[in-house]
Amino acid sequence: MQDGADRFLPLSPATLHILLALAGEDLHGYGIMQDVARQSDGKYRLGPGTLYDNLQKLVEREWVQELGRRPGDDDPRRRYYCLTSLGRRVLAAETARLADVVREARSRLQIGSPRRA
Amino acid sequence: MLRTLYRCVLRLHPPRFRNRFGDEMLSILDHAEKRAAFGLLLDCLVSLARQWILRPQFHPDLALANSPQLTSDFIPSFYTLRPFRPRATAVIQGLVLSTAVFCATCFAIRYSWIHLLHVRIPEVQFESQAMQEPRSNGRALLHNPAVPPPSAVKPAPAYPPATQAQPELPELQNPPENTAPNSGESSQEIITTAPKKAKPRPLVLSAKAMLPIPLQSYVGIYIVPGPRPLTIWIRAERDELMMEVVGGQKQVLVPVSSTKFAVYSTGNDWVEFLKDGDGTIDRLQLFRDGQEFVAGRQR
Repeated sequence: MQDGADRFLPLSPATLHILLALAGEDLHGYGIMQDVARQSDGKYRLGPGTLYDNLQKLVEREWVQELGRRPGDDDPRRRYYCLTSLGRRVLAAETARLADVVREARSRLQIGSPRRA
Repeated sequence: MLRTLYRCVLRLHPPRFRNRFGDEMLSILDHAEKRAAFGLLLDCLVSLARQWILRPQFHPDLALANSPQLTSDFIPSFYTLRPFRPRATAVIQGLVLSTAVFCATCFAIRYSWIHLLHVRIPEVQFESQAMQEPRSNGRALLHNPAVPPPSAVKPAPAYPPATQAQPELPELQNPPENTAPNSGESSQEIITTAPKKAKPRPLVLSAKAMLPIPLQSYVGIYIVPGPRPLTIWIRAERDELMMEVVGGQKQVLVPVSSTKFAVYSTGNDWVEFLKDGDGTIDRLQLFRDGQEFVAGRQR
């Protein structure tokens, strides 16, 4: 399934959120941080150290590609990142795995819940 | 202030990480709210530890050093071997394992019923300056004509090995015939050259406890034959065997075997007792300063 992307699973929460943020559009680091906070309604926040540590790892694995600076940006120090095809496959595999987990959890919770007379 | 501190912590990151992401991290700090700046600083500190401890694979600077360094004439100046960086988890596991093995070894030594390790090692005693000065005076007596004739003296085998440092020792002195130790004119001269104060000697295992036969078996007067015989006294004192060459100091003999003894104060000299057909000790060989003296026991 998913060209062997399963061997990278499960992903850490930080990796999952970063890939998820980059799945929609190309973002710079600060944009990724804001998007991650938005995904979790502010419950999960990435610090810059954690973010760039994960980005370093993801670039090495070629799940994420660095696009460099954009001239029109308001801060010239920002670099943009995008998801590669491999990163997208890994994200899809993780999403499918999580969907299975959620389905299994819902199923068990319904069985385990007390029946009403 | 906080920004300066943040930049300092960023500078401490590995060069590759700092060059690649330092500007962006600083940019995030500049755009963040002021109340979040302290949290970002903490995050940067955690990142610092994480990058140095857990991410050694992302430190390429040493790899750059491996490439040949070109000089102005394009000749490589030196090469270095490829660096080996163990994983941090491997280092931690090794530390824990080493500590466990060390503790287990200490426990085994302390509580084991096998006592093979209870070996007494004689302490090494070095000569002090106070002991060497009188001996330098004693060098004047080296060419004393009273030394036994060459026929009674032959080269002795080195024991212990000659590589050991050997302090200077006075030569054997020959007192007048048939005189007791420390008596007579010649003895008086020698006494003045002997050290006045005996230094404290560390405790060693007593000869009585180590020898299978009583100390009295060795005790006696041994005489090196010659025109002017040399007298050697062997005494048992406080469970130890003492040797006194007439005119010299008493020296403790440390048993190496039932017949071989090392002279404690020198380390290089030794004594061997020889037995006759009945098993009684009747002779003594003294190996001293590369010479061998054979002395017969007075009955």
